[in-house]
Amino acid sequence: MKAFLKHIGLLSIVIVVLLCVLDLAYTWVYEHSDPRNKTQFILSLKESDTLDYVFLGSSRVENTIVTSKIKALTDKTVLNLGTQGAKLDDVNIFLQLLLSRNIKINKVFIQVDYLFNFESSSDIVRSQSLPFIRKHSIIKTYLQKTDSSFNLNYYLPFYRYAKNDYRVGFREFVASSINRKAVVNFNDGFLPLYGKMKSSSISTLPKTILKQNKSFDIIDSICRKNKIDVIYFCAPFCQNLKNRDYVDSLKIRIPNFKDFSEVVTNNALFQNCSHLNEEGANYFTELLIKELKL
Amino acid sequence: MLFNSFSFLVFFVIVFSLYWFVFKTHNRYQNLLLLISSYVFYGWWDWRFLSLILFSTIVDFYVGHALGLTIKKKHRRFLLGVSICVNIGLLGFFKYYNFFIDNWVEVWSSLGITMHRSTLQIILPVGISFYTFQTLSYTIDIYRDKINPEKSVINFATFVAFFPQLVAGPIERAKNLLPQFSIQKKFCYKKAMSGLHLIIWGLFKKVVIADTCATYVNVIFDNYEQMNTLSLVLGAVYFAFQIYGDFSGYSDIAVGLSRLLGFDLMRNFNYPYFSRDIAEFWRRWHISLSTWFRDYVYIPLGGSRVSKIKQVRNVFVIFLVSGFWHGANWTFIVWGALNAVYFLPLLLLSRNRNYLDDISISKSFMGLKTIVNIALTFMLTCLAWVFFRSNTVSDAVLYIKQIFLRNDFSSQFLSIERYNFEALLLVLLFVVIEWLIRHYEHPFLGKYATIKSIGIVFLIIILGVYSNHNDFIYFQF
Repeated sequence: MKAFLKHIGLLSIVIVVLLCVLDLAYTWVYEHSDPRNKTQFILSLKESDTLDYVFLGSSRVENTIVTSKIKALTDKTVLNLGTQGAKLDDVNIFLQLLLSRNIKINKVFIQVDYLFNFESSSDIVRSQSLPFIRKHSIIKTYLQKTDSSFNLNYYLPFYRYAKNDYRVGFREFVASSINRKAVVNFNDGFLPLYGKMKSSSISTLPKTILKQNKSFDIIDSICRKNKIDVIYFCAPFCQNLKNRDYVDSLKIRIPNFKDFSEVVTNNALFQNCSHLNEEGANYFTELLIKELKL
Repeated sequence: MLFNSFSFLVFFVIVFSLYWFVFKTHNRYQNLLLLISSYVFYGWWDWRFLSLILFSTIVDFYVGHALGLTIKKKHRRFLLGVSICVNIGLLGFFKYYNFFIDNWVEVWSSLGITMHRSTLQIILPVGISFYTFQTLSYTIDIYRDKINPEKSVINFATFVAFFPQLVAGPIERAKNLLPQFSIQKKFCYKKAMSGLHLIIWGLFKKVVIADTCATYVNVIFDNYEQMNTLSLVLGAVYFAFQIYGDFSGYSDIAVGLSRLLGFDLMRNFNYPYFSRDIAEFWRRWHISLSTWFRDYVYIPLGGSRVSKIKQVRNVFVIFLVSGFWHGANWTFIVWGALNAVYFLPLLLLSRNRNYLDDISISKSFMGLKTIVNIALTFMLTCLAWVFFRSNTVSDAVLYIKQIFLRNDFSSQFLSIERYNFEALLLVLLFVVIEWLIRHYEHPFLGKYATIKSIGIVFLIIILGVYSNHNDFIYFQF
């Protein structure tokens, strides 16, 4: 029994050492590799830079705003920081991270549609922020608020990488180690969608609007405090949208709100009812430039 | 409480410590501890299921006892009937009630008669198919005078509910496991180490091989209409390794845990994908179930000592029953039937016991023949697995049809943001390791056993899938 317990003890020590070493290695790689997601990209931005326009929101921003087109037509610096599944908490963290790097933002465009009814964060942004949990107080605070496994992720070595293997596990670690190019080109931030929507594709907005969204209020106050011109907007939906009244409620609730939900009337420009395809994104971006006089 | 969960680790450390340090010299207390822990383990899923296992235990204990007291054939037959009716009745109700009702209604509606569908909200108790068969083997073996009735109710209850193998086997025989509860255990370093190594190897198969394959399998099978030929073929291959890694991984952990407690369980898998024909495959796959059906269904039906026509009937009976045992769905029945069809030519040509030797590949024509046989058997198995994995028989037929009609072998980017072939390297590596260790239970033998086990632990940590909570597949059976 003694020999067996000795063996178990040795194995346990080896496991703990492995976990610590792997945790350090993964963290180092994510901190030093070329960015492969938008959290990493923000943290890699040069400090004290100036950005004319920043677009924040979910995939309805990421797949919709053709940044290169805005750059070409307006000669301004633009970033598309839309991220799949992002909610207002994630918009908040992106905004705070940008400001923490002393980046001056002249105008920020925030997609607020069904997102207004969510006081939560995206699993994707949350897991992609995990490598920086111990280094950035803003990320730590954000995860403390949004991550139910915060303590395990923060204190247990390698737990964050194992439990989120899908986003920051071995595969991503290898890709980052060899600086494999990400799917998104961050200078642009736009990720086009291809194909056309099925006629049966529909989108449904919530029936009622939340009375108050704390994340939204924080974003609003941050913008005011930092004198950032902010425009809230609703990206286009196809003609098969249900509960369109919800957008009208948003207009009443948010004074500087721009409604683009109905500006694209041709369903052929959509990949699905909530997302424009590449052609649609180009069409909408041109329209946006004209409408907002960018 | 899954074997690959933190709660189970804590649970087992407590049980192990009490077992070897507190009750070391008291066999009765050790068994009582195992019984209580087994009920805690089982009740962790749903405490209500405990009543079923208790009921089966009490019935079979007293039936066994009564069988030991009577020599009258009529009485003995009646007592055996009680045991079979109670056990199969419970299994039938909890597992197959809705299936039979649904099909009954379907049959009538196909004749134009509408019937009221009165299905019940029945939750399938975890592991019911396993412990039912285990406890049935006890009463049948007493009836056949192969064993004597167990005198201690604690020992018998622990035999039925022994937690390492309770929910997914191996389905143990009373003859092998029950006497082990009466022996005073002494800790054996060698046995414990082999148990530990089996646990590590089982975990590797589950969290690295099975769960990685599962991420691809789920996407491919759920969207098979949009998949090209290569994806569909890989989907079937990945599922073959998912179910093998999952189930044999579970069995390895079960055997390993038992060895840590001083018990020996039977081997459930013996590298089935290196089989040279289907008959050999069934001697190497889920051995505890195959031998159960052989001993309690096939042989009583006459086995291979009857006319060829009856042999064919017997083969179909055991494969269909085996398929149905897996679940109340036509997909499992077709899977069983397909295996029977595969088996048939071997039976008719009396070649079903051709490969009883160890597998080796010589550098000759025979070596090439072995490789071809292994590949063909694997392909046939994969084809059958499509039925096992699909939701309906028509889904499975369409899946296979698409494999042959799509004719598109390009690499496909899946919605899990991975290419369809990405898990292949891992699977190939696993096949190579398995081939090299095919004469042993696990890879941790020889001089560098400790280093090898640390290497596998390292792979479990970095390659394991922990984000998706994947239950063991066989829990549903």
